[in-house]
Amino acid sequence: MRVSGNSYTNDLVNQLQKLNSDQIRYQKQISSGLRIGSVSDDPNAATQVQSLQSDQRVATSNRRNMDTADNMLSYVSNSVDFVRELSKSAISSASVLTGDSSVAERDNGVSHLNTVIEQALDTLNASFNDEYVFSAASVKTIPFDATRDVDGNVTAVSYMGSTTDEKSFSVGEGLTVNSSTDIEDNLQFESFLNGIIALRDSMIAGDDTAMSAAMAVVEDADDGITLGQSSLGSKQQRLIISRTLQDDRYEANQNSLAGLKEADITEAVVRFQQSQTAYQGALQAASQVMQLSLFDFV
Amino acid sequence: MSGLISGLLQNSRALGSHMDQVQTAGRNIANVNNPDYARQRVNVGSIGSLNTGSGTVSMGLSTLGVEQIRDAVLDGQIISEAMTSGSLEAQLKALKSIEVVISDSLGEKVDLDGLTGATTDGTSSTGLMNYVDDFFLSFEELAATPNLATQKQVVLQKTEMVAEQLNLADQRLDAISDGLDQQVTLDVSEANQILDEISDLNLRISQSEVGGAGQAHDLRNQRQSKLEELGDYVNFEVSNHPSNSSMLNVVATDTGGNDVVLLNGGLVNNPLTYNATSSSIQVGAPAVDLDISGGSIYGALSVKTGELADVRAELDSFAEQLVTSANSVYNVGGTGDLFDATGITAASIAVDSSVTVGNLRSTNNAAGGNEIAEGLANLRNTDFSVAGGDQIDGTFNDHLQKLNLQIGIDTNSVEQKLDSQTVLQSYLETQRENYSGVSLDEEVADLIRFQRSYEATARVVRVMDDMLETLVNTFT
Repeated sequence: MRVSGNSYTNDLVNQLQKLNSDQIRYQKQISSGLRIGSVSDDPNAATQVQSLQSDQRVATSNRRNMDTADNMLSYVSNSVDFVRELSKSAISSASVLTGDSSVAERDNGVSHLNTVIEQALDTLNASFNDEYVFSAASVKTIPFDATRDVDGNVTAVSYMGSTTDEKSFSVGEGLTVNSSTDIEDNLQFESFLNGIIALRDSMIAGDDTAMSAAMAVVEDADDGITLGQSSLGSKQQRLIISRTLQDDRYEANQNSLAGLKEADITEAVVRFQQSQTAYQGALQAASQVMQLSLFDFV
Repeated sequence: MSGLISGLLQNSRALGSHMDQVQTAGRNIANVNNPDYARQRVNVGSIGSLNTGSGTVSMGLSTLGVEQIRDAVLDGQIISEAMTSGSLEAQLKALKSIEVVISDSLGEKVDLDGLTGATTDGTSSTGLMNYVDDFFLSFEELAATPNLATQKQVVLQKTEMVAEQLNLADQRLDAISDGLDQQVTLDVSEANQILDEISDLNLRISQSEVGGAGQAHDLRNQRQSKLEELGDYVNFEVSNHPSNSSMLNVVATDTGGNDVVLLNGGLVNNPLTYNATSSSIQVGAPAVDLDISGGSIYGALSVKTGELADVRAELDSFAEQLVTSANSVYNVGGTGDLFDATGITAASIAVDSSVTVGNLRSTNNAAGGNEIAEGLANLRNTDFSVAGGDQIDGTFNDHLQKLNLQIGIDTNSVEQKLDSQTVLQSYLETQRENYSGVSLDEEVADLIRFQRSYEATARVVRVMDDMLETLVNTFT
C-alpha cells in the first residue's frame, strides 16, 4: 500500500489524540472518583442514579420528620410522666384524709390539690414547636379550658382539642405517625382534672362519700393515663424500628449509588497506565520512523 | 551528419523532459506538508516517429504534460462527509449546553452524616429535580411542625427557589437559543465568504486554462479545499458550469425540491441569508427557504427547532402543572394562591406576592391542622395524565427525569454518531492522502531516477558532440 508522508502523520495524530482522550477520561475518573459525570455519559445508569438520589433526599426528609416525631414523643412522654406523678401525689395525699380530719389537714390537702390542678393544667396546656401537643389535630387550640371561681380556683376543665382527628404526619412511604397522645388519652386528662376538682370540693365539704366517688374517678383516669404512657412508649419503639429500617435502606441506596456512579479506581488506574504506556510507545515509534527518509541515505 | 544533428536535438528535448520531472519532484517535495496539495506527475512520451529510407525512426522523448493525481469520487465523498461532520459537531455542542442546563449534577455527594443529626441537609441542590424534591419535602416537614415559623421560612424559601430555578433554566435555554442564532448568522456569513472565494477561484482557473482545462493544478487544489470548507457549514451539490469546463456551479435545493444555483461559475447569484424568526435559511428576493440538511448551519437549526424547543415546551408544561396543582391544594375556598396564577410558564412562574412567612398556611382550619402541607407534599407522588386534562404525564419527578433522559440519550447518540463519523472521515482522508499525497521516499527515489536519466542523456549528447567534432575536424 502506498503511504504518503501526510497520511502517516495524520494517522499518528489521530492515534495520539485518541490515546490522550483515553488518558484524560481515566485521569478524570481517578481524580473525581466518578464514572459518570453527566446523563449522556451513560443515560440508563444516570437515570437510576437520579432516582436513587431523589430517594435519598426523601429519606433524609423522612428522617428529619422521624426525629421531629421522636422529640415530640419524648416531650409528650415527659409531660405525661409528670402528670402521672401529680396524679400519684394527689391520690396519696387524698387517701389519708377523711371527713374526720382536722380543718388544717383538709386545708393542706385542698391546697395541695389546687397546686396539682394548676401544675397539670400548665403541663398539658404547654406548647412544643409552637403547637399544643395535647389538642390532637387542633394544634392551635389550647387543649384544656379551665373555669375559675372568684378566688381563681379552677372549678371545671373542658377538653377543647379535636375529638375527631389525630395529628399525624408522614415519616416514610405509606408510614405516618401520631406524635402525641391519642384523643381518648386527652379525654382521660380531662376526667383526671375534673376528678381532682371533685376530690378537692368534696374535701372542702368534708363529704366522705363524695370523696370516695371522686377518688374512684381519679384512680380510673390514672389507669387511663398509665395506658396512655404505655401507648406513647409503643409509638417510640415503632419509630426507632422504622428509623433503623430507614437508615439501613439509606445505606443500601448509598451503596447502590456508589456502584452506579463511582469509578472502580483500581481498574481506572490500570487502564490509565495502559493508555499511558501505549502513548509513550506511539511517541517513541513515531520519533523513530519520522526521523528517517530516503534523504538520509542519498 | 544530419543524423548527428537530429540526435543532438532529440536528446536535448529529452534533457528538458528530465529537467521537468526533476522540477515536479521538487514541487512535490516542497508541498509534502500541504494538506490541500495533490501530487503531480510529468507525463513523458515519444513525440512521434519518422519514416526514413532505413525504416521508422522515433523522434525522441518529450514532456506531454503535467498530471495531478486526484480521485474525484474521494473528493466528492469528503465534501459530503464534511457536511455530516459539521452538522453533528454543531448538534453536539448545542445539546451539551442544554444538558448542562437541565441535568441534575450526578456528581453530588450525599453526606451520610446528614442523617445522624437530621439537621444538616445531606443532599446538595444543583439541578431542577433537586429543587423540586426540596420544595415538596419542605411541605412534608411542615406537616410535622405546621405552626413552626422557621419551617415556614424554609418552605417559602424552597418555593421561591423552585420558581427561580425554572426562571433561570428558561433564561439559560433562551440564551442558548440566542447563541444558536448568532452562530447560524456567523456561519451564513462564513459560507457566503467561501462562495465568494470559490467564484474568484473559478474565474482565475478559467483564465489560467485558456489552453485547455485541467492545467491550473494549484488553483484547483485551493478550490477543492474551499468546497470542503463550505461543506462544514451547509449542504450543496457541485456541478460543472454548462459553458466553461474550468468552472463549477454550487447548487442547493429549496423546500419545494427545486434546484437553486448559489454560485454560477464566477458569480454568486444567490447569497444565503438567515431568518431567525422562522429559523430558516433563505435566498433571493422574494425570499425562498432552502432545504438545509447538512453542515453546522443545519446542526444548529435542528437543535434550536427540535430538542431546544421541545425542552422549553416541556418545562412550560411542568411549570403550568406545578402552579395549577399547587394552587388548587393551597387555595381552598379562595383563600389565596401559593404561586402567582398568571405565571404558568417556566419564564414567568413566581410565588404569589401576597405569600409571606407570616401568612403561609399549613391548614385552613383555624383550630389548627396540617392538611394543606400534607396535600402539597402528596403532590410529589401524584400521577398526572395529559389524556386526563393535565399538562404532564406521570409525577413531577417522572417528567423531569424523562426530560433529562431524553436529552442525555440525544447527546449520547450524537456523540456516538460523531465518533463513527470521525473514523469514517479520517478513513476517507487517509485514502485520499495515500492516493494523492506526497511520499518523500517515492519522490527521492524518483529524483535519483531522473538524475540518472539526465546524466545518461547528457553523456549521449557529449558522445554525439565528440562524434560531430571528429567529423568536422576530418574536413579541416
